[in-house]
Amino acid sequence: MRKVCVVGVGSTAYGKNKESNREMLTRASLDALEDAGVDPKEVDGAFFGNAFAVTERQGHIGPLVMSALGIPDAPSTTVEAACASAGAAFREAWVNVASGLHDVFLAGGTEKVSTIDTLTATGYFAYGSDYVFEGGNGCSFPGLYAAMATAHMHEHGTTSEDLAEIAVKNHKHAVDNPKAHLQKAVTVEDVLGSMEVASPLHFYDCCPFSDGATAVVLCSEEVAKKLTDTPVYVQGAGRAGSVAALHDRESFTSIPATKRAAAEALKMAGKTVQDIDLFEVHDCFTIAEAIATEDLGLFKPGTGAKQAREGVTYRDGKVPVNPSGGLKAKGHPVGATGTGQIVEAVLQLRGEAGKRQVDGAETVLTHNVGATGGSCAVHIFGRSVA
Amino acid sequence: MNQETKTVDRMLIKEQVDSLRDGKVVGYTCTACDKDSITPIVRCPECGSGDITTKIFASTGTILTYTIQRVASELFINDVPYAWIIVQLDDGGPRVTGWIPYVSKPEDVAVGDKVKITTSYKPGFMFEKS
Repeated sequence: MRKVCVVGVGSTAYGKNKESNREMLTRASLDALEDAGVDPKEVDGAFFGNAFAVTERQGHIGPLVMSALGIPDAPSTTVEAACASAGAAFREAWVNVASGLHDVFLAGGTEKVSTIDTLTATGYFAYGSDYVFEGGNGCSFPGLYAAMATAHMHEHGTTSEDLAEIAVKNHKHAVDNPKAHLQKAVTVEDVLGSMEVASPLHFYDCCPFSDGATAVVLCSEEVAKKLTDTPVYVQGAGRAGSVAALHDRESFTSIPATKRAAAEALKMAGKTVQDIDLFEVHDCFTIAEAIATEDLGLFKPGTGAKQAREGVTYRDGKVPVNPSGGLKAKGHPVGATGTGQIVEAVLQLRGEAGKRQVDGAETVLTHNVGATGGSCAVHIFGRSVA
Repeated sequence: MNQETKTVDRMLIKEQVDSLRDGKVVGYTCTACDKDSITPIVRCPECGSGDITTKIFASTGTILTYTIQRVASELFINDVPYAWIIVQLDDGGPRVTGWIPYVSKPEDVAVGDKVKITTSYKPGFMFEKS
């Protein structure tokens, strides 16, 4: 397989956006192409994440974007893997370039949920679960992660304060991210005093419903070298699944797909997790960050929730996790989140992350999960080939 | 080509859900390795066998984990707060999910609590403490 580079990134601000999916994703794609110095006519195709097309009664988003970019002949495919839609889209674009079939591909995603109320959104978000046994019999999407949190507390003695510390960290990081949905610091007291959504998770343990679109340009190493002296390399690409229903898992405090996708990506990169300088992980809820960091092998099982409290996972800590603010505070436009993490990885590697720059970042891992882990995409990026 | 095919005693999910509503726990079992599953399977996730049949399981069990739902989707909007639970059924049966109405306080539900299935007016299993 060929080496693949990311040469351009684009992202709208996250939050409430007046624009529609087609407008946001077209803008993000054009920004990524301009950032890369690639004319749209050089694009061979695209994969885009979009989980809730129904919110705008507009499916089949790809051809609308390609047409707006002036390249209606180029093929595009919408990828749906719940919250991992854009991470999965990136992987498909990577396959197209790595295989030698194509030279330049777009990967991105978009989501528009501010058009619907909280009740409707709560219903839609549960559609990514095993609906017969989870969403349809009373469990909201926060409820599934809440059940994981209850199990984590029961098995490991994790506390609500531990989880709140993760929210405090990610909110603090997001203050320095001009594109974040929640650019506001919170305290442990704020988190614990906020409404309980599904015990033990409070309102501030949960990511917001965000609008937003993100896109990146992938190309072969050969093309990248013509565009820039400092391309960002895709060092590893991993994808895996887990049994969809939480009750069918051996453990409620671990996501098997994270372990498998990370193993695949690390093997491809020829690295161990200790070689990675910073992590953008899927923290749709505070407990999700704790479990992700355990499954990635950063911390021992049961200790992931203690790390924010100890300062380890802060931007200036030993293991920076979610310097962007994460899904928790940067926001979670479901179909755009996966490539949004990759936008952050590229900015950090280029030294263009502004106030949230992690000094000397050479290697970044992104981790994107669909639902409670039925889907997972892990990618590793670096400033060198491997 | 006249291949011999194995007949899997498959239910429609709707029939399964209807039987759950009557408090009858019908699921699947692998005749090769005895793996049980409430979730529909046609190949055993443990041993790969295709010898899957339906089976009626115990309607009592133990809570493995739970959440007290205070914000629900439309289907359950008039029922909050309530507990949503994952249960290990007795007699070595599968794990199932369900809900217990009128649970609002942390002391009302705990990991390890014994529960039994009652007739439900909602999709899926409704439990009560036993």
